[in-house]
Amino acid sequence: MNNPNHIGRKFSLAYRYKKEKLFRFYGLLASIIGLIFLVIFFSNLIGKGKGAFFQTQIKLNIDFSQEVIDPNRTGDKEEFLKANYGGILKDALLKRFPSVSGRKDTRSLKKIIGQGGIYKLSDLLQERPEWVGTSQEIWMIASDDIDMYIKGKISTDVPDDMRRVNDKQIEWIKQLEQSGQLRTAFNAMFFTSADSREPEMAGILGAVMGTALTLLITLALSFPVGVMAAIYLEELSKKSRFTDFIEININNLAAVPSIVFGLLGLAVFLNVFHMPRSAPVVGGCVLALMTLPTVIIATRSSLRAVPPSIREAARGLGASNLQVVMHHVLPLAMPGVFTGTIIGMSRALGESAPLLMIGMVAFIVDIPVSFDDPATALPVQIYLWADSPEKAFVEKTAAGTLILLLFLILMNSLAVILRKKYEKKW
Amino acid sequence: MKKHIVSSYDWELKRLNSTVTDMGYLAMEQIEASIDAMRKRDSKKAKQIVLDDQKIDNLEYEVANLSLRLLALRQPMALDLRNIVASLKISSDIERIADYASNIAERSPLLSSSKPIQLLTPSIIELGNLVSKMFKNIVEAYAKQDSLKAMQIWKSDVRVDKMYNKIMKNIISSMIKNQKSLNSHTHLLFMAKTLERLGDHSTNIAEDIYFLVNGKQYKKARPKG
Amino acid sequence: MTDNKDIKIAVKNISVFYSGKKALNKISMNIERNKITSLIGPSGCGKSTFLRCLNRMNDTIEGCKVTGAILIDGTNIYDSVLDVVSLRARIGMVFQKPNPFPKSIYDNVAYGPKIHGLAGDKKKLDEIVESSLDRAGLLEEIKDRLDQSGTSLSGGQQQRLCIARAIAVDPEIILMDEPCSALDPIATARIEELMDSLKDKYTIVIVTHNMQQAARVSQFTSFFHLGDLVEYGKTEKIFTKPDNEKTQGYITGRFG
Repeated sequence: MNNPNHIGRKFSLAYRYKKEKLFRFYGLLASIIGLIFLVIFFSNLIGKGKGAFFQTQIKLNIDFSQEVIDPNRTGDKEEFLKANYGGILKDALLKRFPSVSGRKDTRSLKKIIGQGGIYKLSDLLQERPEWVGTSQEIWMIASDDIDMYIKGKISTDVPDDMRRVNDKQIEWIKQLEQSGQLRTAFNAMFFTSADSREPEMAGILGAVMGTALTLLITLALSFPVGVMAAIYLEELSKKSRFTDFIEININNLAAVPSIVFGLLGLAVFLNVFHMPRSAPVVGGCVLALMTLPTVIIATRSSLRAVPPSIREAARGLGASNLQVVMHHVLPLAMPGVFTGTIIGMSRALGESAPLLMIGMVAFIVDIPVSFDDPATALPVQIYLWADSPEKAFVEKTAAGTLILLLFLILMNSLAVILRKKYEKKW
Repeated sequence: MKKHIVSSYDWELKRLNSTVTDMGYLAMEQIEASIDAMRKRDSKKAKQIVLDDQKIDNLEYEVANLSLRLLALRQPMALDLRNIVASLKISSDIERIADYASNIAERSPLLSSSKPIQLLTPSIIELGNLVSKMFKNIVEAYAKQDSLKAMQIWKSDVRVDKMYNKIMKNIISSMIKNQKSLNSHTHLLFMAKTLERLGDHSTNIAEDIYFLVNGKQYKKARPKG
Repeated sequence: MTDNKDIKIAVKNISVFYSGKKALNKISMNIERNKITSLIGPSGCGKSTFLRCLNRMNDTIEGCKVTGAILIDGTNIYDSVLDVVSLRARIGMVFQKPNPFPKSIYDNVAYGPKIHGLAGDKKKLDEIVESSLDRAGLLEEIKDRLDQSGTSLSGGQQQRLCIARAIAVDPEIILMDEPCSALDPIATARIEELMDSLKDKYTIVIVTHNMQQAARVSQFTSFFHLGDLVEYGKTEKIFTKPDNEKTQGYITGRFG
């Protein structure tokens, strides 16, 4: 075992085994620490964000009084738009809580329903004009303060006039709960509406669409251009000082801070080409410029990894250089190309700095549907929400981050599927 | 035995074997012709036999060339190697046998037609027929690469020896009685000896065939009569 | 003296330089049609370089310069107006390590005819594929699995597939660069038998570091040493009584 003739204990077998055990222990420890951080991060995120997927709703009996909405009995939907829905709402609330009186209390009462309630009533009548002159039980969205109170985010330690939710409102909420007119429902609105000043109305769809449109442009520009550039540089051009120069520059571009690309976009796309500000097309171009070096480098290295025997076989049969690349080398290099593209796209997904420079930071309430509609992107939206003072935006920020991560996971899964499909054994 | 994957190799080996077999058949004809010449004392035929010997010499040269080529170009192994080496040796034995037949033919016209010689000649012809048959069988045994048949022939050399010894005794006693025709008697002696040697060479061929097929030497000592 | 009409490839003073360093020194020889000519010699003697000159595969190597002329049926292939791509369709090449494309067996063989437009319709293409596989001695073994990947075959089968692929474009010359060095003896024997039957239709030039293979398979042998052509002649002569001392030394294993 331990040969006394060996020079020093450093070479003994037991010492070597001990070293190995220690190394393995460190590795395991590092993995566990990483995992712990991951668990902390996710549980924090989910804990903060899960509330965003539910909203508090209050059921009220709304009287769509003919006199208020359509006094002239025209039956014209256009007329309904002009009605005083604020009044209708106030009446419904006072009907429920008849004991309320005085301006201060009435204001408090009105405040328990979210400000979008008025628009909701109007929209409902547009959909169902036959409801004019009837009374309906409608679930209205509670205001963000009430929502936060129900979710336990507002503490009652502070005196009454220093809180967002005063004691009277708490009393009313209790009554509504008891009579079954208060519920917490799934917040579908989060997924179907764009941003809003009112937290209870704010949704992620605008940002999702903006990101989707932007990334579509990014992909459409960076993938073909990047792959073809790599093919040209790697396979078709003669090696010279010029191509070496290009290669060095591409490698360096991959390390340029993203905000520089934003400045480029501002200077060139907006000021010279006068492209629409805040539009996905500009964002897409800027991000494409940023992603291009990554795609080129990944493609080149995958092309290099294809064994020369395949090229020789094709060339020996009389295939031209382009045929060799397109028929044989590129298909074999596809897994690597996809990996590079997804890496680039994932980076583009999370970049907010260049998008800020080209103006995709504005407050957009409409959901963008085409490439030149003003839009915002997911990371920007999260940043804006994180910056807002309302307490309700805290959970929205976390929820937005979860959506972003989901996006990322989906993109990566797509990459894995595509890679597996194209992987061939050689 | 299955064929070689490379068919030209098979073809070349076949060519070697058939050239040796051809040599054998030619030599056989020479032996029969020379016995006939001995019986008839035909000098014209004898001359022809001597000329025809050249054909067999040419074939031996061809066998040597074929063997050399096969050894250089095919890297033969195992039974192929034994086949080539044995064929080379056997062709040399056949060439010697043909030479003996040619010798006998050469001497035939020199035999006198005196009575004592006439008395002795039939037994020599009988010896001639025996070795001729032996040789014919051995050529067939080679063609078929049949080592059992070869060893049977190998055993029959005893009879040749016995017959030869008897003939020698008779010739010598006749020589003693007929001092005047010593010359003719000497010719007869040589012819008988040549025929006996012919039989020996056939036995050599038998041993080579045994080695070709079995890859080892036949252990028993050669039987002597 | 060989008749002019028997000469398929006439090599005249070919020299090859790799970035200034000389690899082949003024090689001249006449390769006869419908015969197998082998190139032997120790490692680094230039035989593979020479082979690759015959179909201008050396063009693809950076810093490679070729001087001299190679005439195939009287036309110099190093003439600048000659189209290299169509030249390579007339000359098939089989490499040391079998390199089938990672496609189906059918697609492997069909690739050449497709890119050169040799088959008008699918039926004709099927015929070409089948007859090529048949001539390569592979059809019997794989005729019911033509859509399986080419790389799923054994080494010997893969090499025969590469040969089928090369003959599918109907070349006149087939070049083989140590085609059996990655194969076992039985597979090697099969390929050698195949070469024997192929020479009736094609002119074959084979590089081999196994001189016993050269002895078995070729009718003409040339011995290369350090970039020079030392001796060229009939195989039987080279292996039984070579003219040059160096040749004899190499063949008998006294050097190299």
